[in-house]
Amino acid sequence: MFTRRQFVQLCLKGMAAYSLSPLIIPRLAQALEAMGEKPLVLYMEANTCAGNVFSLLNTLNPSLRDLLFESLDIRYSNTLMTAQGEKALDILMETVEEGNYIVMVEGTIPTRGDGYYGTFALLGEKEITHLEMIRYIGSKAKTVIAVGTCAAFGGPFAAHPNPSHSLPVSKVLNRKIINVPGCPVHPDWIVGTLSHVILFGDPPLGVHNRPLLFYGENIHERCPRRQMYEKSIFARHPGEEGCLYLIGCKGPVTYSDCPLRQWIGLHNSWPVEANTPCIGCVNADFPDKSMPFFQHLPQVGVGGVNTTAQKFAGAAAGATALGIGAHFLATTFRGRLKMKLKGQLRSHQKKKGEKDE
Amino acid sequence: MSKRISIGPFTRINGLWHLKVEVENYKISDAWSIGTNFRGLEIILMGRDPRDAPYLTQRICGICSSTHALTSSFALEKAFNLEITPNGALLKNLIFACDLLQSHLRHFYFFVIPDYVNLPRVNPLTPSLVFSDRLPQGEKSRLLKNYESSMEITQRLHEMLVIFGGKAPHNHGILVGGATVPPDADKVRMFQSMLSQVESFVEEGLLPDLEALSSAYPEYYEWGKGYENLLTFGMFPDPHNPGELLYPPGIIKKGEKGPFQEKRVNEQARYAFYQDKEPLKPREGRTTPLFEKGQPYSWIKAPRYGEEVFETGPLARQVLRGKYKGGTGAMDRIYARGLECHEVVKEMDKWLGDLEPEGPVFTEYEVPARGEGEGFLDAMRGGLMHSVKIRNHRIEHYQIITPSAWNCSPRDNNDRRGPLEEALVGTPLEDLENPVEIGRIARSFDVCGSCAVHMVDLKGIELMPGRKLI
Repeated sequence: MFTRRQFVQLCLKGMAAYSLSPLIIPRLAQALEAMGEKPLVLYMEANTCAGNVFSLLNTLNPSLRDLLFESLDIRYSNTLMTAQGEKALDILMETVEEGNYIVMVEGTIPTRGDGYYGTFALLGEKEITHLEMIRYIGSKAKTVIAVGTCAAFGGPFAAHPNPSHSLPVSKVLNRKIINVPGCPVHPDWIVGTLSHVILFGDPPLGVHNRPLLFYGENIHERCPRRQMYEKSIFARHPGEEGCLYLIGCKGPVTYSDCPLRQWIGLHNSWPVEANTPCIGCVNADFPDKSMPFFQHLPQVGVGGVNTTAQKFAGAAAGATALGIGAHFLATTFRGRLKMKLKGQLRSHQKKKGEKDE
Repeated sequence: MSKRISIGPFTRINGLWHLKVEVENYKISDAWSIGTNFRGLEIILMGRDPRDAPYLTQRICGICSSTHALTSSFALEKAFNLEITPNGALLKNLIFACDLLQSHLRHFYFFVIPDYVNLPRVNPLTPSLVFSDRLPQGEKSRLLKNYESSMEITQRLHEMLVIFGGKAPHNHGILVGGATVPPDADKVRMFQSMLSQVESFVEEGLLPDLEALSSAYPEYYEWGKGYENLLTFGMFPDPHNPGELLYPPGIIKKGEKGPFQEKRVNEQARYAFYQDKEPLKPREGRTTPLFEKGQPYSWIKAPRYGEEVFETGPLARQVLRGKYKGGTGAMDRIYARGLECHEVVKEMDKWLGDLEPEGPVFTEYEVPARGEGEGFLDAMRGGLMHSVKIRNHRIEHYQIITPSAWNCSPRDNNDRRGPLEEALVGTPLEDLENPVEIGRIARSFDVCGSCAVHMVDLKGIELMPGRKLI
């Protein structure tokens, strides 16, 4: 039986920093055998693009086959399950009555019109809203994991002006929620969190209840292009190799292990490697505080509208804003980078002309 | 004897969607397609930087994200009068094609197969509706083996997408102005080797499985026909002839081919939860959400071509280009989708060869103060339209009509059913306790509940304090 400490090391260190080691699966099987049965999992989709479940299907180590056939007893998944309609609901309800299940939720919960802007089920002529369903299932679950940025923080559909009055899971359930954000979530983040919950209980959580295992490090600090930033080799437009800070990279205010882990299981690439800015999709205020995506940080707007760094620092609140404040007012605009960067910014702005007004 | 069957949640689709049917004397006599969610992404887009639209609109859909990026960038490039490089266009097509294959394969194996073949008793695949397997044992076991392999192959397709897209779903590689990853030899080699795995799976797995399935269930060529009107906006922008498409647009009305006219597209909302009920052109599309009990029953509006009801999808593309000569039944839709996989794999191989290793992938541009552009392009599931208006360098108006809105539309202002609703009517049901036929026909459309719901509003939005629609 391997220990929590070993597991964490597998996730963080050495080769396994880039993958959930295939070692985990045989050991997971051992641990599950000791438990006598496969853990019950309900995978719920609320108001979502379903991108997180498709990301989960992209898991390489362990593979989807291993998860489905060997490791988990996934009773409910809108995307995969054979049953439909009432029979699907029966399975869901029976599992809830059985108890001792883990529920994963993706998507925001619409609350406008008593929740009727998003319905989950149809019982004869009666509609059941996501709000009712998530409250019911979530309150009886052993563990609730919010998968993806929508479920964790609201995400794109709750962006200003939030037309469906959507809320993250933590705002509709009064209990501990493990947030595993990402737009979409990386398959390793969700499989890793789930494995930790099953084998050792809840993982240690950091800011915004995100597992520290995956969201503990700053992208900018671990960025393979950090040297380019130090040397002021900046990309002028997407598709150019260089530090993407000037064209909007949100790496300095974003905490995830993307630079090390990369996407997906074969670790081919990640947004910065693809010569595009990180858009901070794991952040609690994504996408509003990340937009415009191609605007560099001190001019990032509130609700996607331009404003000055000063105004922004005044208007923004929360950890991300603190991150921006701390990083850019303290680091970027002080010290040896100051002059270089200001020159770069000036010429960049001149080039863009009246657009930034 | 009449009976109502409600299926909600309608599982094994992308996102959520409900269906209600009425059965009389073991025959479906009526059907209602119900879009269940309201999101308002077009409202969210207003006032934002147009360059952000390809990234933000991808979030509409998890299984077909890249198609929204492609169509959005296509519409914006028109609005900006921007011509992109052949390399940029080829890379965008390659990214989209990976996603298309991923979507088609997952649809066939994960969504369609469980309706025809009893899967192993492992949750959540444990069979729930009772039906007997018609496939001979040998073919069934090959198909089940391929069901498992498809998990690996579709994962691999997203790995390929990541090579040029940075991440999947919701890639970063498709942008206004082109693509972002210069195709060096290493990347092309990696892409090509994975592509050949996909190609052999399509040839040795998908095509024989398709053959086995369609010959075991011939009645589904007759069932699920609907209006027999097909529509395609055309697919894959031509990298070497800007403005042209590799797969042409067109309509087929009861077997008669004709040209596609953009101006005939309109949306009607008498049976949808919106205030404005009169037909509207996409460019002036405007809808205030209004949930009320009564006549309306769906969050999806009813897109129509002139006054006519059209369905859209791979079948329309295959028939229009003369690649498939069959009918418009449920199995025809499934078959055409499979044939398209084979064709697209071959195309991708050609495109890889066309890439210029040193050629530019991205074209620089300035966001103009004003502009208007409409992108009509086929997604995996059929015609997708993004329409954008820019004022003061900002998005003033954005409107999206998705393929699933066409296929899963509710009744229109003339009380005519949507294509999927109409396709169900007349289908005989053998066992009312196990109505497998409903799922088989409905899923042949490859329903995407996530895409179908969207909508726009220009009136009645309270803007955040200090935020102006400049």
